Amino acid sequence: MKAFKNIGILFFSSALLFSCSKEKINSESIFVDRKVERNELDNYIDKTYTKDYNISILYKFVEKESDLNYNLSPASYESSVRMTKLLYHLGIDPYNKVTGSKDFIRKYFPKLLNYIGSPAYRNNGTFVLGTAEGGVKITLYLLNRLNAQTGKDIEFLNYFYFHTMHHEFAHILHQTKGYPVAFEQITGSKYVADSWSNIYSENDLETVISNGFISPYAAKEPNEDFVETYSYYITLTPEEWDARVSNGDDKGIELIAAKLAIIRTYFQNIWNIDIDKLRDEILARQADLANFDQTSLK
Amino acid sequence: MKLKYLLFLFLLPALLISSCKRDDDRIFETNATVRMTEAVQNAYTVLQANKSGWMMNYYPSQNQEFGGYTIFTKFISNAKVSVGSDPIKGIETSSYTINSESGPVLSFDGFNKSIHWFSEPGKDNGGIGADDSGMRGDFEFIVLKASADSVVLKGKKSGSHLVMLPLKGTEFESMSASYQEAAKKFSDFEIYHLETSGNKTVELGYDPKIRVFSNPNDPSAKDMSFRVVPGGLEFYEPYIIEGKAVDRVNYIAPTNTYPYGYYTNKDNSLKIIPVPTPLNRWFRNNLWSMSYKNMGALGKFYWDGAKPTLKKNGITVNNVYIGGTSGVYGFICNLQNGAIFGGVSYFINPVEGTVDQVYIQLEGFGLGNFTGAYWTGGINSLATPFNRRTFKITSEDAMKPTTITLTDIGIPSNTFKLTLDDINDPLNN
Repeated sequence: MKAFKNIGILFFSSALLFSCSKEKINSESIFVDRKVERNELDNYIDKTYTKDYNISILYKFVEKESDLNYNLSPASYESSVRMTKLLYHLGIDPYNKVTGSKDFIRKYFPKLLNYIGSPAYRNNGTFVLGTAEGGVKITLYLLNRLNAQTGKDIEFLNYFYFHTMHHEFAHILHQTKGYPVAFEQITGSKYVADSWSNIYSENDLETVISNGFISPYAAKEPNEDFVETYSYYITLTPEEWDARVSNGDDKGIELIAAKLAIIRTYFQNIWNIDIDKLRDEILARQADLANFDQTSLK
Repeated sequence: MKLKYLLFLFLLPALLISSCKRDDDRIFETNATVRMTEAVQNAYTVLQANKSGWMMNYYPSQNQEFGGYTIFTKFISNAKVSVGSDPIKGIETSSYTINSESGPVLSFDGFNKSIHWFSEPGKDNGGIGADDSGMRGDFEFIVLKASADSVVLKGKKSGSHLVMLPLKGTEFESMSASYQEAAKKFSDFEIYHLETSGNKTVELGYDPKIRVFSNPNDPSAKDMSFRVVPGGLEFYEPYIIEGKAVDRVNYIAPTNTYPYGYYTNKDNSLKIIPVPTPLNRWFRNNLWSMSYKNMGALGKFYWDGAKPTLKKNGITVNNVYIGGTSGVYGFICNLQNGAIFGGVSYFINPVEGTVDQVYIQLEGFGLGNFTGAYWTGGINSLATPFNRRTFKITSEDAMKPTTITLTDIGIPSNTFKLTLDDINDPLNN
């Protein structure tokens, strides 16, 4: 009886030894990197964005990175080149200059920039200008409107791209280190959430400013208010800023000034950025845009 | 007990042997990733192997409601493709990639009007289809099959099947040019008549932006979708027109009776005849610029009256138009340096039985972001000389003129010289 048991165990263990003789693992990976012809823009992005800042730019359409709720078109090569150059010149480099190193951008700027050629049209004809996701990705739309003519039109550039870019970047900053609660209390009871577009309009700045907001969207909630005020401030000339603000009554102008004071202190204390210096740097570059070469990738 | 062990001993080897036999019933030799990599590589190789390029018939929407087009492609490297298509002039080079998704997916991932026109939102493609979805075409296609004699694609969003066929020699250049020329010639006309036996003629339903005819006499009311090809029109499928199945009509050069030529089927039982657009319809379907110096005494009288009112109300008038676009007709203004674009809707009705008379009357709906304050702030006076008037339209060009003159039939001093080009600062020019 015992012998049978032992034989049984012997058989069993030997069978286990021989069972399922494993195939050798193939040393070749099944994931093959394709060798794709590289162009000048690929090299430029590598050199200027990826190497220094670990930023990657998707200028060719990648569906899974896009918003599937919309019918979108890819960006054209020419507009991608212009945007890549302008974004560095007007968006990134001013921060380097003011902070004195590339570290600030390397640490906080989103790591993925996604270019889309068309606007993201909703079925009522309105459209999305740009989006930011979780501090890591900024999607810029309407790239295909960027050409030799619009590329020199600073109002156009700010409205469609750079206002959005500074806006989204400021979100990342305040999400990293919050701004003082006092900011929220300045117009605390006036935030209207999603009805901002029904209540306020860019065509009626008098109402917007008089209520203490720099733009209709700023009335949505304190975070949007914070980044809108910041973004308008650093992209407008002092004259344009004053002209915009002077649409409202004195009370509104005071409220905006109070918000701006907090923003100024916040950026100085937390990020060591003098927003007036930053604005001067951006404005100087905007003013000199006619002499900036947007298409050469050398 | 003993028996149990014996049984166990006999069964054990059998169980162990069969347990490791999964290799035998594999359906594929290699695993899915390897096969995917091969399929992607194969698609790349096949597409680039034909140096002369490929052509495909393309009906962007699965229901063919926007008609058909012909697309020419030439894959010049593993990242660049040249594309030409018949509705868009010329050839452009852009980028492409073949991705591995649920199959190899050919993605035209850099903008190229020749292919992205079909997938662009209506707002960007010249107003075809819905604002957000346009013609519902694709620029990403699943490669179902790739071989030297054909590449079969399936639109990722539309699900439409397409076949790319290889071209020879310099056909990529020559055929794309001849298809574009045929499309241009076809689009010179915006009205097509159908003539059937016994010289019965009826105007086909046709929107010049797309390639679909509808025959008002067809009881099934089935839209006929077609492509424009050199020498004729090819229908998506044989359609029954007056009892005959028609899959293609050929272009016949102009004759005395048909000064612009016509298209006919194999046995000449029907004719599709291009007809120049009557002036009154041409007027209605375009936006015409007007200005102070280009109008008669009555217009000047009203505009003189409006100027101080507009100034008082702080309204800057940059452009003023009358006419229509996309089936909306009205008096349209560009105000406040572009911030306001819109106006008020008008009835603009061609007078029945005439080709050159039009009746204009206020309808009153707001258009664009134009508001009532602008209307009552002085714009209404600019529009007054048009309201409830019948005009005769004259022009030096018979076909699609860019400058026309409206002359009021009741008040001969009420005239307007209008142009398709923008006139800035119309109050002073």
